[in-house]
Amino acid sequence: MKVIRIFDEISGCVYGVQYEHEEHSAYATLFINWTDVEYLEEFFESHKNDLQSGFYGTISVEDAIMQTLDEAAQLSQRLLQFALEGTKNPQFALQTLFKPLNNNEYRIPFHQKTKLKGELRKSWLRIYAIRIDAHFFVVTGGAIKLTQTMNEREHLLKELEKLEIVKEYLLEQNLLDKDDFEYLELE
Amino acid sequence: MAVDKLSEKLNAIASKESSGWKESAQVAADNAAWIKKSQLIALKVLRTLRELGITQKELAERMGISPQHVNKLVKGKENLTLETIVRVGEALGVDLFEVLIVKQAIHTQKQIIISFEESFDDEAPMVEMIYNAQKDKYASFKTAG
Repeated sequence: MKVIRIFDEISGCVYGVQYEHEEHSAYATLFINWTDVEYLEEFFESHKNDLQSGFYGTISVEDAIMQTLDEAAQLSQRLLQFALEGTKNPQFALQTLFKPLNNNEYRIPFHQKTKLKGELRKSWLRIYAIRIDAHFFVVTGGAIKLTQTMNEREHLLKELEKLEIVKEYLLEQNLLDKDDFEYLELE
Repeated sequence: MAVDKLSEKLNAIASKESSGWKESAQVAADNAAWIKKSQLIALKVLRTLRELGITQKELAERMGISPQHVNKLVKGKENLTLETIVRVGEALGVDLFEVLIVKQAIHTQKQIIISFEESFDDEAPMVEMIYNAQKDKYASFKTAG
């Protein structure tokens, strides 16, 4: 596994991991897929039942693809804007975008597992990351989430595994000290 | 551990190669207008292939081009020439320029409606009604054309 600095000129802030045998970082892979019409057509066709189950209302495969393409473009620009602005202005800290993975988590433990949703109120785009500080995140992956929980589909369970693997990797790399461990125990 | 120290440590183990992602995001933003049209064409081609039960390889044979070329086209990231658009359309029996006009118009309206829905939840049914009426208008325009 390799750690990649996503925005080269901006010190710290957004990192991504590149898994073994993968050509790109997890962050880059997400946006390559979310802007690839062929990938999205195959994805929504094979998850048509989830798409049209009513959780997201009634939506055709075509509209789902167009919506994803638009949202991905907006999300990419928003992340870049916050990464740049957040170094100067705390109002743009990445923490204001990433939310705790667990909806019932109201405090911020060290190495918190987080998610970033797309722009729309009912967006299915998710970026998963480990929080190190308010403006310091390591992206582990992401997904198109069409079901209410992450436990219902294989591709989402895989994202949970990836979060755990990266968290372990950061621990192995000694990116924690004794105080941080105390935080972890509380988690 | 202080954040700057953590950042320093993470930078030390981070790959030294450039991700080039900031530039990629900028290029995508600068070319958004033609990329959107390329995506609309890719989508129409893929849906027509699925509907007709034709593979990308078969389409490539019909057009006398490589399957890799067709595969690039259906990703919606290619800056297509007018000649390519016409040839793909002819090979599939569809007018891809029509897609650019009608679909783009419907899609833009739908985006406006989504923005409305995000702001005024209670108004959503009314907005949906307006959208459907507009969609019908475009459908009749398409038929008339």
